[in-house]
Amino acid sequence: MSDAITRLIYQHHECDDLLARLEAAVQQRDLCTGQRYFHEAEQAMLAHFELEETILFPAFESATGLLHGPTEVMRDEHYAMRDLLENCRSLLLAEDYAALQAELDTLFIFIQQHNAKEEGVLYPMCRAHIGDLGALLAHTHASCTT
Amino acid sequence: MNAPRNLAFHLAPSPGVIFGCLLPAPWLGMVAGLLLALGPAEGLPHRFAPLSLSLVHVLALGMLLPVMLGALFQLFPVLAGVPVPATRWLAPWVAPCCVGTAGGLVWGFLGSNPTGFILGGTIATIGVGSVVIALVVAGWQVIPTNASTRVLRWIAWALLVTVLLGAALAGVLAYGWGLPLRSVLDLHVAWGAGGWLAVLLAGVAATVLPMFWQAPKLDARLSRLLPGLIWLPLALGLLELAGLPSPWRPLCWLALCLLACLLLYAALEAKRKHDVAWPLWCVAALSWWLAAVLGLLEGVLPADWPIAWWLGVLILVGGAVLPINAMLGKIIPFLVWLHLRRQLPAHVRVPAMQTLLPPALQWIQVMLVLFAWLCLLMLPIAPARLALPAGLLFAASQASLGGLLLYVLSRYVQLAKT
Repeated sequence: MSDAITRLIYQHHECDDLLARLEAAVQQRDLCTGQRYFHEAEQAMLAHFELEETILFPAFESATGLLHGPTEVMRDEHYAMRDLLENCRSLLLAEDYAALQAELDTLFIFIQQHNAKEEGVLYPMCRAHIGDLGALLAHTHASCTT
Repeated sequence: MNAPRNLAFHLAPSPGVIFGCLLPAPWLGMVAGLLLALGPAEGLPHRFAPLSLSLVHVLALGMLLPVMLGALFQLFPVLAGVPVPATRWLAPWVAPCCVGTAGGLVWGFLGSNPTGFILGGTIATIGVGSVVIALVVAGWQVIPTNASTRVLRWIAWALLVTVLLGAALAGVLAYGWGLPLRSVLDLHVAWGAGGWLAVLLAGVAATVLPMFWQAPKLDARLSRLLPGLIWLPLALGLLELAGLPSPWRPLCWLALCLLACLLLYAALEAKRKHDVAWPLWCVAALSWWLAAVLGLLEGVLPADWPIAWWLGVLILVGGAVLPINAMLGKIIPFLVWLHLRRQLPAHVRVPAMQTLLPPALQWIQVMLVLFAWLCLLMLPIAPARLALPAGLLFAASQASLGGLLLYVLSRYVQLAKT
């Protein structure tokens, strides 16, 4: 895997870690910590989506000519994750911990299957078809570090 | 690198195709439990007791095989970007063929009837064989990038060898074919339990444990051990058929022991231990480890210990039924959630997975199946007395899972209509 792809995968792991911390805080009914981790997880995820949607996916589509292929599916799943994040935000504000836990469970699993497809299929295709992927992604600072 | 595999996401089979393979599984598990509870207990817990042989095949063929094949129909396109050829036509036949094969063999074992073996062998060779060929073709196109895709590339060959060895056994039992029965039997069991079941579970676990329970991902160097780690000693074993002996049995147990340790490490390091199904993975890993240790020590343990029964329970129930129960409890609600998301209008909020399958209900099922596992392990203490409660408990655990999954589907139908 190229360094650029490794960085994208690293962002996935960082987002996973933030969500796990959020889940733990919600289980302990720790509203303050939960809000902090939710904010960090949301920022990290949205930045990652933006990086993919504005730079990676167009480059892939341009290199392969596939406008309605995997990138279309990934974009659609990004929308679904944005919706789930929005639901989580509402439930967190309402302090409805049981419903929030259930929504986070769905969000977490949805993200994992999405990441598995990106890491297993899309990223290797990007690496194979986009010339100088490293330079393309180098100027971005969309890391979701805590 | 092949041409872009853009069709991967579009050719994933419809939920109906996958549900058809997955949903009958718990009910076949229930049948196995009832068979133990109400069947002829004479000879238990001996491995060659007709009831033991029947139970093994109902579990392995009737319950586990359709789930594993159904999972492959889904995993090939989703994880590897390669759809299995003719999925639409093959998938509806998977569960009937597996049940037909198991039924024929049960008839053969319990009724001492060669016709049962002929029926089971024929259905397995034609029905399961067709699926195996499709999986071999799909596997050939998989580009291995991690443990799961590496297993997907090769796994059909293990099933092919298992089916061929099983057909050879059926030939020996039905027609008296002149093959070395003990070697063929040991290899059939080893390829089925190790080459197919353990390798596929390890490959699937490498994806689903991080996905659902946030376990650490398998190290890339270790992932390269699959499937060769198990298959090399098994391939050595095949030489036994040509009269070339080798220490393939202890090598196989050692390899399984290593896999079990990796699985146990992953389960214990999982971050989502609060999930109700998480204990099932811990007990599954422990079962594989105990089975490997028992297998290694079999030669030095007292001859009257029911090693074969314990191995069967540890591998089939602990090592396979438990993780499959855990996965069904996640995958079915998730597929329903995905399908609802696609079907419902944008303004309608799709209920969370835990709303579709409440964790409190799933927890009861998890406790039932864990108690059943324990009771089955204790059965050799008093087989005649414990067969009924152990069988009923196992049947109840699987019926409750089947009921929960039907509840999820009924919620889906109800919500899809709104």
